[in-house]
Amino acid sequence: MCNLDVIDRSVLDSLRELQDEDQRDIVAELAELFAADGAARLVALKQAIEDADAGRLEREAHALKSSCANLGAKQMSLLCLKLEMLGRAGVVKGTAALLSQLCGEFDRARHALEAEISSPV
Amino acid sequence: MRILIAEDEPTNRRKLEITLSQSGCDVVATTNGLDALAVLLGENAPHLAILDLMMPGLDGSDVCRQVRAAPSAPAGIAPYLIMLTGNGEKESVVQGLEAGANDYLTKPFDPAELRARVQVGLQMIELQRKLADRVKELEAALSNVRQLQGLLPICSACKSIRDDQNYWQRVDTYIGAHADVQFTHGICPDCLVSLYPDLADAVTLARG
Repeated sequence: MCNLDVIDRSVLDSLRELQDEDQRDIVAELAELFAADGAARLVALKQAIEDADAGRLEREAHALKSSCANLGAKQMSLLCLKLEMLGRAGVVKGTAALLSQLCGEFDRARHALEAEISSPV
Repeated sequence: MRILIAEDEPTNRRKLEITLSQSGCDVVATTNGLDALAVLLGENAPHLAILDLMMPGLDGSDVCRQVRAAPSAPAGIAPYLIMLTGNGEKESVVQGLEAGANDYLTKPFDPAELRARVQVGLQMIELQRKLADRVKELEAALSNVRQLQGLLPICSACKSIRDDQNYWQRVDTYIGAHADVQFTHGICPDCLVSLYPDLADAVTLARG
């Protein structure tokens, strides 16, 4: 899967418009936050599913969705939305598969962002 | 201009900080509703706040509700509250506005739109500040206005007035002390005739 599918470049471009000359690269900074926070959220989501905690599933998915959207990880954002909706509806059963997909997407997003940062076009 | 942000999600929080700092705002960042509330109800509170709706513990709408329920700030300026909601969440928008938010923005937010809405908020605050100053001016002016009110005991014969200390005063002395008036003394036609008949005749003759 090529980078274009995983990360929406236009989102990163609009982030770069906020770039201050003497400040750290904004995409790099947000990508770092995304990677760290994302990892923690995925652990929390796994726990929520194990505990059958629909409320927590909704909240964590909602937060992660926001983070993905800021970095242009559209597919990941969509998966988070699905988990959020299910959590809101009180459904936890059957969400493990979605979470697994989400974890895969997260890895792809991280790698795509790393590539983007090291050699932006 | 100090602005409070309350956002538990780090990429969003950082994006908010960067966007607002670039506009020259002094950003006070919090990660939850409880801390945000403490700042908004505390000393030297910012007049403008951007609150994420969904946060653990106290959420954005709870913060709005509590801020609006608190007694007015001494400066007479109600804080301008902007809610951050998820995309396509109409119920969240309604929830936030009903809780007392002034405006909302959907995530992921567009920095230019955020700046524009913050500008609207700043104009609103400036308007309130001017209004509060004007009210203070008027209150000061009003406290200087003296009025005659109530029942005044007056002598039927000489028209002296009895004051609060039971002291009888000439009517012009009493009014002069209790109202913003000054007397210019003259003589009415009837008194002119009874007190100075020769002068009265002379005046009538001159008028011929």
